[in-house]
Amino acid sequence: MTAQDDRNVDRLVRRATRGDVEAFGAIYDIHVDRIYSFVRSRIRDSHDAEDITEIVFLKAFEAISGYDRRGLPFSAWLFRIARNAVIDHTRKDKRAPDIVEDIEVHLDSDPVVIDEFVASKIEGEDVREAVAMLTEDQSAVIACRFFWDMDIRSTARTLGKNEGAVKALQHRAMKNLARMLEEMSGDA
Amino acid sequence: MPESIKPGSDRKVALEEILSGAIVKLPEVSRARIRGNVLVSVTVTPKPGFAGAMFMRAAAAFSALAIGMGGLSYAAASALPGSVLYPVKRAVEETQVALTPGDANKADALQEMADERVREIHKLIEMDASRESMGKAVSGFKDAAERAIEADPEQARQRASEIEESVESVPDPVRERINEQVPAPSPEPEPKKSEPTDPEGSSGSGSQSGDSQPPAGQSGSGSGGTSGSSDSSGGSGDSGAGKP
Repeated sequence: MTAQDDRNVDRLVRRATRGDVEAFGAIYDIHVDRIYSFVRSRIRDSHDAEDITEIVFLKAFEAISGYDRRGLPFSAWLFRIARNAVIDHTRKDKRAPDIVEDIEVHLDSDPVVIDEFVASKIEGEDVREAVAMLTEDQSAVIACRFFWDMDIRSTARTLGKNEGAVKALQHRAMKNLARMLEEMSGDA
Repeated sequence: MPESIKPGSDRKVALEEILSGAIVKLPEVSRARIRGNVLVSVTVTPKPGFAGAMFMRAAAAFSALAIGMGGLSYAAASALPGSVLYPVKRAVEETQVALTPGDANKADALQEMADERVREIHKLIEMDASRESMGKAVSGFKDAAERAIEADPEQARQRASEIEESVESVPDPVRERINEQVPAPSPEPEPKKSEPTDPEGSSGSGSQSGDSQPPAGQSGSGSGGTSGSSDSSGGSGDSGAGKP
């Protein structure tokens, strides 16, 4: 989002904190795809994911009068609500995905790459399925970084971690994803 | 990706690119349904601490109007000066301003209106639109900017500077034309309200002490399903998301 978009969201939030429903509608329009993307990366059933998305916005409106912009940025605040809603759901849901066994990785700064052949075989659904099998922490980092376009610092603030931890989580997640996607492309 | 790619290719693809492309959008029908459910639900459930019953009735009436106008107001939202729907768009904006309670809120709505005029100006430049259409957007900008500044004298300087900033994105010579219209900031001194600084500063330490916390629901700090993760480098652990 540009600086102007951020200011626009700030103004909408100020209005929504005073109970302005129309402003909240505009906030919904701006954030709903990112919320749904994150929820869908953890919840396989699309209907459940839509229900959770709705719950996220209802909870956000209930709480927005207490939102203080001097604390967390609004998007981070909203992400936390979504994350909590997903955690609540997966605790109750017996169909929750198996969590992939974490692999030992050495942290390096090289970007994680996969074979072009593997990339040609996988689809968006495969990627979401693989993200759903990451640990909750790892998938939250992936969602913040790549679905919400947050930088490392914002991701760290959003998740309540330090920046080093976020980098380590991201690296592990990427290595795990690369391995899973390679396996999936072999099955295809 | 072409089908002819064979296993064992030396070429690699960054996983980051693949992840960024895996974002899934909510289907339009679901998006509209959930939006309607949320807005109706929050409209009919007044919250303590919010403005009084009169505002809630006005908001409910406006929501009903917006839902009733449905497709028309939605289609009008992207209209540009010169289009048939543009007067509808402006009328909807004015209704929103009129129904917005409080000076600061009204000024916010007017400032959004000014920003929308700037967005229109960008699109009109791209389209090489007529001088008349551009004139409508520029005069609409001037009107909204002046009203935003007048509506909330306490924040007049701040608003004037934000408005000036948004105009900076417009290329010359249109920017020159707009700048002639930007209202001068108020000469009054800033109100003596101390603005607390961000408690986290630039530490990036992950401390949550200053954050406004979202509702936690039932989630604890354990982040379901993560207990077995080997994120020992996590430092603060999951101290954020689940806490009330």
